[in-house]
Amino acid sequence: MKNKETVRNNESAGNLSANQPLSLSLDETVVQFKRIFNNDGTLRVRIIENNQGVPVRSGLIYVDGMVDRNLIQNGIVKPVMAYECTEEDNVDPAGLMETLRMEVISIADIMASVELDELVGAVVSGKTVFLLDGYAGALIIGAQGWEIRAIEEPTTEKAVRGPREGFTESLLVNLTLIRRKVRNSDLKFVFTEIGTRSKTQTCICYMESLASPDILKELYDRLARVEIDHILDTGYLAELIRDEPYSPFEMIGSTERPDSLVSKMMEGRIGLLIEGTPFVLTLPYVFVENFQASEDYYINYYFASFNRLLRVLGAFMSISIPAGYVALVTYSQEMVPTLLLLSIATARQSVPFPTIVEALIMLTIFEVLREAGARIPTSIGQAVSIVGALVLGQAAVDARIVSAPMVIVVGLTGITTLLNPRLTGPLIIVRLALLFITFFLGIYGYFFGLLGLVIHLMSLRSFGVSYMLGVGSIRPQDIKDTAIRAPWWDMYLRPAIIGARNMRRKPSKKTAKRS
Amino acid sequence: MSKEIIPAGQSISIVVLFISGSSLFMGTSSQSGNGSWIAQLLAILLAVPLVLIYARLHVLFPGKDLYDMLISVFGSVFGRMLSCLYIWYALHLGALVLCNFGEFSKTVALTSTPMLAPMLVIGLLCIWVVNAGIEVIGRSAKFLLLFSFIVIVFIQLLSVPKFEYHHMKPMLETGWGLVFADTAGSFTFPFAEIVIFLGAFGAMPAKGSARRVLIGGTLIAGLIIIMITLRNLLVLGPDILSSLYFPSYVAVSRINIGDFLTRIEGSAAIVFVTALFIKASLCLYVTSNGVSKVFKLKSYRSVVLQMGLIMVYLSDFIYADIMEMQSFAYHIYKVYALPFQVFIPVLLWLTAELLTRRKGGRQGSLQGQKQQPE
Repeated sequence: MKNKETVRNNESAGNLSANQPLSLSLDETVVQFKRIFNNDGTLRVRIIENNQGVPVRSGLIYVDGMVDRNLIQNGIVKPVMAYECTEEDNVDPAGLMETLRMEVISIADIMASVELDELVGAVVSGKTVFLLDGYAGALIIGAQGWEIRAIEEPTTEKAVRGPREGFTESLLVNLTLIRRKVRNSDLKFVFTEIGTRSKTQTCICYMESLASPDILKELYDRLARVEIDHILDTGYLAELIRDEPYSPFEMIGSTERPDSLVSKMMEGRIGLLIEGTPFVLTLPYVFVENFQASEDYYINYYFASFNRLLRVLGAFMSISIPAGYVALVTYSQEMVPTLLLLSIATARQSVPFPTIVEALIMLTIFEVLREAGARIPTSIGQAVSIVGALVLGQAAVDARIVSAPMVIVVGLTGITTLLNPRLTGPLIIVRLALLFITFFLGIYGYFFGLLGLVIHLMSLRSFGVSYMLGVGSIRPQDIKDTAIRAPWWDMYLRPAIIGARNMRRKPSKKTAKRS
Repeated sequence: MSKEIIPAGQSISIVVLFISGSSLFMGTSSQSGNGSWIAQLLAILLAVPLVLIYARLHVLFPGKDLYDMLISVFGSVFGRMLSCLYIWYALHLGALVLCNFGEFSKTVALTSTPMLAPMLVIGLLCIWVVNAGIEVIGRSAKFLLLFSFIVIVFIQLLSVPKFEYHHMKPMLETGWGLVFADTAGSFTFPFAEIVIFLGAFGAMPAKGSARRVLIGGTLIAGLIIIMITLRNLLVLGPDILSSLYFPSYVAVSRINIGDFLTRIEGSAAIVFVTALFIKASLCLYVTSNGVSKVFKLKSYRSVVLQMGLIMVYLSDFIYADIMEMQSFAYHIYKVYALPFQVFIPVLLWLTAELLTRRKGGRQGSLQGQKQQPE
């Protein structure tokens, strides 16, 4: 209750100061700013006294660290000081301001404003405010400058072949990266602000002639409904605007690669970027996108299709291996070839735990190792692998705490999970669920679990598009970019529904005939 | 909420899995020994005209399901009474299907697990999918059919080395009498059971071709059933065949490829589970839909859970044992099911045609379209 009140007080205090009109006096305006930026040590105020002609006072307000000092020095301070003020200027401050704006200040991005809250907003976003004594107005000068990370290869989506650029934390740099790949005015960037306190800049980008207006409208609606005080990563947004909030599967894609974003936009998808994170959302998202890597489109299509199939198989194995092992060892021994069964039985002979317990112990240890490996500093990463591989693997088998086949099972499970970094989370959950139901009902439990998975996946929708779009279809057009990757000369249509606005990728006569 | 619509491809998948569902592992009525495949063929031929009548009903009442048709043709009271009969039929059929699986698991798969456990799990899956909507059933069915079809063909090919063609001879050793008896059996179970699908006609596109869906589905399912009957016959022989409860399961277990691929019946059982699941789900959907129509509920979803649990419970006590189930399925069912599958639909069709003709002279519009402005 108390918290709520203070919040309201803060807001009303903020509003009051912002609503005050600009004063004619430079000093008063500066005092106003200082009051608003009370306890903020980074606010800088520079008063310029010009005595070249008729004396004139002006002031600069900016936040230290967010501006380019050289630019301010050479573009504003120097020319303003050198300007010779005439008698006319002194009588007509508005005209003087206009002259300064048009002729004196040599900075490209410049704009006039008379509203205090706009000025405050400009200052906090790194712009410089120029005030003139005796005039109730100001100039907002875009002389921002701060350190940003250089464009590097994205670490989460590596590719052997293909562009090496990755998005950075700077929204404008990211937009440049996109624009450089699509030199077409059809590419649209729509800005909004999200976060009642952080006021994070958000950009929706799409190809106007390809993106579905319905999906776009739905996205705007959902963004308008977002209520949050700050967002630091697109992950916040993805969770706030996704469909099916209780599903473990990602319903909105994210990528760090401009090429991947552009290829998705060219299929009619919409990108969502925010300031401060290299991860960009793409939507709508369908299940098969989990298996797609941008490199698939750059390398030979046989090899790419093979890799895709490996990933699909990997995902399937990663959920099935522990459950399948438990089902075979505890329920359906007859399905295992006799020799193999004997060797498993021998290995399990002196292990005191039931198979399910063994499986749970080892799977948990594997996840612990994975998480530890992801969090610890690289310099001690070696220790984890040594402890994991030698102590927990070899020694546990020697000590008869777990059986050797179980180590193989868990190892395979782990490796196959790594094939699909985007599916890691859901795979772990599905795997455990399958393991439990298999433990209760044997191989039939496993089948029931798979059916449940099918029902769940089939009932999902991402922005009105079925999550399993194209899965189970036998039309050639629908499977060209799913578990396999068809050659580019054969992919003449965009994916159904998402790209429905303009299906044909290549408007040649040949493709028109074939489709 | 907008109306759910399932495209033709998905409806066909539902029909195929629905019809072939039980036969995939129960086998078919097989008193006629090695003539059973002829009986299947005849049953398909017999089913085609009936299915055409069902499809005609969709033309007469576009966008309406069985219950709407009954109520609009036979009036609010009598139509609702007939609807109740169909609700019972769908509920009972769903329970039978679950019971088949329960007996299967008790007899061969999970012999020491109580029968209720697997039935309850599959029942909960059905409740889940029906709650998710007929569209989800359709999409799942399409994917599962593709998958099942691959498995069935694969197993068929693996069985070829075990085929013993002398089981086919002498042709028709049991005589035509038993073949006709089998025909009647196979006609009612499984082919004409597709009458249940009438209860889901509301989800078909109003202008879509029900004929294509039903005939296509019936023929594909018939093909699968004949394939399986022939395989079981050729692998096991007519004598063993008629003495088994789950001939497909045993036939698959005979597969042995290089002493490595042996005893794969467990993994082949995924096809049974899949098909049964779709069949039971459709029954549950039609039951719930019927209840919502008869009692004028806003959505069938509010009764899915109740109906599903009743179905599971019914399946638990409906038969004392597997022999009773077998005898009901093969001997009593063909008489019991006739009114639901043939008499009432034909009566409905004739009445509807008559009404349409009579009104057609005045307005030239179909019964179904007339009802729409209400």
